[in-house]
Amino acid sequence: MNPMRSLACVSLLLLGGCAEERAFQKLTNLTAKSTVDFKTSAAAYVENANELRRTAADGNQTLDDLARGRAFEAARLRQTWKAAGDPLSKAALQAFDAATAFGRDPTLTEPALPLFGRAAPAVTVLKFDGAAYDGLVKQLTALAKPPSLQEEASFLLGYAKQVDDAYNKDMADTAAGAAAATEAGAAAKAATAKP
Amino acid sequence: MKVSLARGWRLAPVVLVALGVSGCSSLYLYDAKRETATTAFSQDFGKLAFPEVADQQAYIRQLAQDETRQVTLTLMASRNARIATFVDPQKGAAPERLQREVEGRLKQILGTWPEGLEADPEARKAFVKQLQLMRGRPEAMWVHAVALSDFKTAFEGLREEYLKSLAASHAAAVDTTTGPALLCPDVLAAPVPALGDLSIYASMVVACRNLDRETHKNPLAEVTTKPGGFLPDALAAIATDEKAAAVAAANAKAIKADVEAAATPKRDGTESAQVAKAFANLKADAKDATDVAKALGAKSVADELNKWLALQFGTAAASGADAPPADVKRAQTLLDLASALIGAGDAAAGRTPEISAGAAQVALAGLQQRLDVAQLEAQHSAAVMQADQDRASALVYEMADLASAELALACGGAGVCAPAAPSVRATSRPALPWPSGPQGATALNAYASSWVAGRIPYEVAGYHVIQADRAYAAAKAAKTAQNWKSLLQPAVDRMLASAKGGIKPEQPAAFAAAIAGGALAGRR
Repeated sequence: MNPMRSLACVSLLLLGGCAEERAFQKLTNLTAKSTVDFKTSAAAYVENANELRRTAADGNQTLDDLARGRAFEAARLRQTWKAAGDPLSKAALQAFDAATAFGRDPTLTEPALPLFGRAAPAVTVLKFDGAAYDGLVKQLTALAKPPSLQEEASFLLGYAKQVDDAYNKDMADTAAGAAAATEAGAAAKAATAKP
Repeated sequence: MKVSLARGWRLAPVVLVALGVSGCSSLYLYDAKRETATTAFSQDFGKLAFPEVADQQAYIRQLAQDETRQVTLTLMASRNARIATFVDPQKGAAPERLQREVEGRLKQILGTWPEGLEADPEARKAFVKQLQLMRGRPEAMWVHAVALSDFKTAFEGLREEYLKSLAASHAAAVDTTTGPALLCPDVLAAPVPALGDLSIYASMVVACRNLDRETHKNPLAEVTTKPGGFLPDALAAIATDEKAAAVAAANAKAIKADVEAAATPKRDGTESAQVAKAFANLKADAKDATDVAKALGAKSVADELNKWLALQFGTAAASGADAPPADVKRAQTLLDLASALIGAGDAAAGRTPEISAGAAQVALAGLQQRLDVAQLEAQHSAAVMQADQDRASALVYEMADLASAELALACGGAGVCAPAAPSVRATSRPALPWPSGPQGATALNAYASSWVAGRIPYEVAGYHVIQADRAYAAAKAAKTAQNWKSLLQPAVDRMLASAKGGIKPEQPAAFAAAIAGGALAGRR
């Protein structure tokens, strides 16, 4: 290698620092840690959300059971009064129908009577996919990994080759440019020398 | 890499020198592979979404609707079952049982009878008449009047309402500017109106007969000061809610001002005015990057974020409990992250760290999270207060209907008691057996109405408090997930900038070529 070229390269490489490398690795490691923390929290969130779904379904089922039980009891009594047909039962039926019609919301559908043989409520649970978080952590881990001596040497060798290639190209371009300029100069001189 | 032996020997000095480099500076060599890998990571990070949080928010909204419907259905079925037992001829003594139920429920709502009423049925009846007056006026006014122990205001509102209703049904016969002294004879002489107007009519009759307008006291003034009943508890909850809502609103306003100040860029756009000021004050004393991070609030940002994470991803929020303590390790990680963003290179080089755009972004992300949470808290407080107000209003309506039922049972079905005299009450009893006749119809309908207008809305409003807690927790989780990305984004940006930077091979080559070219030119 040309001594001037070596000097230039060495001067620049002496400036090459480990500070940026350390800062990069630190940031990468910390971001990876935060991502792992967030994945843990998100998984716990999904677990709790699903627990709420199951609890809510059970709660609604209990309320529904209660409603069915009470509706069944009232319907049974009403049927009894209707079947009896005596004046007291008729009065009971009339008063019951009048009072229970009071304030009834037509948009509400009262539960059907069957109490048994009903299927358990379907609960749609959330599925947690940690793969996206894992993928990020994997990428960060690879980025944060310090290079081995061999890798570093390989990188530097490759880098030096690229510098060399670029230098050769620059020099070739410069030489070609100089040759073209010399040729053009000679041509111009020849042209002016001709009468 | 294919390098010829001869060429390898030519490159050896460069490689050896580079391997021996151990000095630290901000200059470094560009690595194309690292740029590719970091760019891929940055893109994947940008794509990271939180569909579970969005799903849960939608589910919570649907759950609130389903739950409200189911609770209403269940309570309607309960009401009908109760009514069935009161009309069932096989059970006997139905009016007395209904009366016990009505009085029991009234006492449950009030917590206790006012002083002296427990042992005095007549005085209690007068009190119940006053409760009946509550039916039919705007609920907000009534709740306000109850809270202020200002029964007179409530009565005035009721009077206006009644005068309007009379004016509507009797054309110009009623002068709405006249006072009760002129009104009462008309009221007392008027025929008993249809069921729909009965409660207002009855209220006015009772008011005309018993109300001394100048000296009358709020019947609930004493009751509401004694906790234990549904109504005193609901009113106490409203008072607490009002304070909480005021604090939450003030907090959100203050944080919003902080965020706006922090987000205002300096003229050169490099950093926010607030962050720059904080940094300038502390720069001289800063020993290392961690101190600066703490001073800028990174510690509190990290602590707060972890509290939010713990709160949102735990069950505490749904039950309204306090947040669990922060995870110290996780807070430390985030603090370290903020520190790393605040000029790690400067600290390593022994210089006072300079503020970086990344640090300002971390501080802003933390402020944004605080603002989001404060605004959600303010919304949550308002929703809870509304639910508690609905509960109190529902109880007022329920008491008024229960009072109508009580009066119908005690006074023979007309809805109006004659001046207390056993003989009068006895003669006014209906001839028809229960539940036929006006006594049964009025009492049962008023009792049924007490569920529809009061008891069911009261229970539903109780669920609204739980639903507001759930919605708050779900919204906070969504904001936290979103802000988590904002908090880490500066680190990702910093990594990408680092990977794209550095000395590219063309630069030293061009430098060397320039020197060589100069030397050659000099030789010529």
